[in-house]
Amino acid sequence: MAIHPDQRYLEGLLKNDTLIVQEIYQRFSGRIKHFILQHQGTEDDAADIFQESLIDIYNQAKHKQLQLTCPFEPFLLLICKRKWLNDIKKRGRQPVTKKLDDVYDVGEDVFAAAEQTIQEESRTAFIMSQFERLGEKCREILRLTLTGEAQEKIAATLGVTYGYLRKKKSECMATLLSYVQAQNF
Amino acid sequence: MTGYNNEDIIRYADGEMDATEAARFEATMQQDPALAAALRHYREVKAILAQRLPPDAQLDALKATLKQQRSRYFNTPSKVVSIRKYLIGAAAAAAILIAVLVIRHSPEKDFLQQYSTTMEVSAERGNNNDTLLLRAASLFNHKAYTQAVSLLDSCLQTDSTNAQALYYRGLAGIYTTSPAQGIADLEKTFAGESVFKYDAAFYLAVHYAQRHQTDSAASWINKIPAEAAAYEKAQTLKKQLK
Repeated sequence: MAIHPDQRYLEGLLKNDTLIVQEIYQRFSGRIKHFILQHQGTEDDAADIFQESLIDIYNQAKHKQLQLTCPFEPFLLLICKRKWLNDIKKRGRQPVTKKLDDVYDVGEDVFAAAEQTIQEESRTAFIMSQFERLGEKCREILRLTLTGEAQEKIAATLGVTYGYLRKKKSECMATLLSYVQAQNF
Repeated sequence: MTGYNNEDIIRYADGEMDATEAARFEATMQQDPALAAALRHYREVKAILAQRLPPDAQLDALKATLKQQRSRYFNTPSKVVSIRKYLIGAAAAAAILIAVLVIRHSPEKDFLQQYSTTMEVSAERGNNNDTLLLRAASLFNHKAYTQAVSLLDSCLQTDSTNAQALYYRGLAGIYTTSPAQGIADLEKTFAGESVFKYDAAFYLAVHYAQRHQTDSAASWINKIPAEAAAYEKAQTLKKQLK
């Protein structure tokens, strides 16, 4: 499918292009503010959701090579809305019955792209939250061993033998894997 | 997961099993979907950590930019509190100043002058309408409102849905000697859903205040909700109407 010209917004986020980021806020923040204020949120909630959604999009563009085949605005707004409705649910408030596409007649391509971003980013957030449950030593070892640096050098930096490092890394990963499996996310 | 634990799965995935052991593992996996699923989980976790654990300077820079824009486009509670505190102090000081000015000078107020603003445009490279918008902004900011209107006309002829051009044509329009088109543009902006919606209502109020049509001005002020960015200044204007 052809890349949509709005791909420039993703490029702007990737390059931290201040003008593009400003344009995103200027053109799109009003609508999401309106939506969240209408759905039990505050302006602060709206600012958080808007910011988090842009970071999710950045991460998808950077790590998953997300390319837009649909317009940016409905895509961004759908992500914001989904995030907000998930937040409301987590806070144990009344579920919102209003349809998500009440403001936009969202096309299937927009829906699919937004859905993929939301699913993948919430799965990533879940795995990272399980990583944070590991002990400090494990987190340090995984952080260092996953940077691509030579394992022997890392062992030397940590003052341990290469054999110990490998064994410990494997134990830490196994623990993390058991956390992830236990939560059945 | 018959006979294998997570550490075995990791050894297999990382190529640390010898050929015989690896072949046995693969044979078991064919029969055991739970083992295959565990292997997928491990690969996923490893890939995510490899992506997200290394420091990302670009992301840090982006977060700083987002924070900056956030304070421009959202009134977060801490900011509102501090502004309100400041406004109470400022309002007291202004009240004294106004009292002094009222005594010393004629009470005629120039609302258009007081609330004159600048046109901000973020350029979207290359496109002709952006060039027009930038030139219009420059004229607008030099108070050459009639010329700004004519450039914004051209913008709107190319792209009649450009909310920014419509709003600023309206705004420039009310500063000219024939504001009818400007009023229509601002009313149209208010009827839409763009970010300029409530700013349009505010400048309609300013326009009517300038013409001493206090009721019309008040009615536009009342259309601006408390969460709108224009709310504070609209309330200030409301007080000035009395």
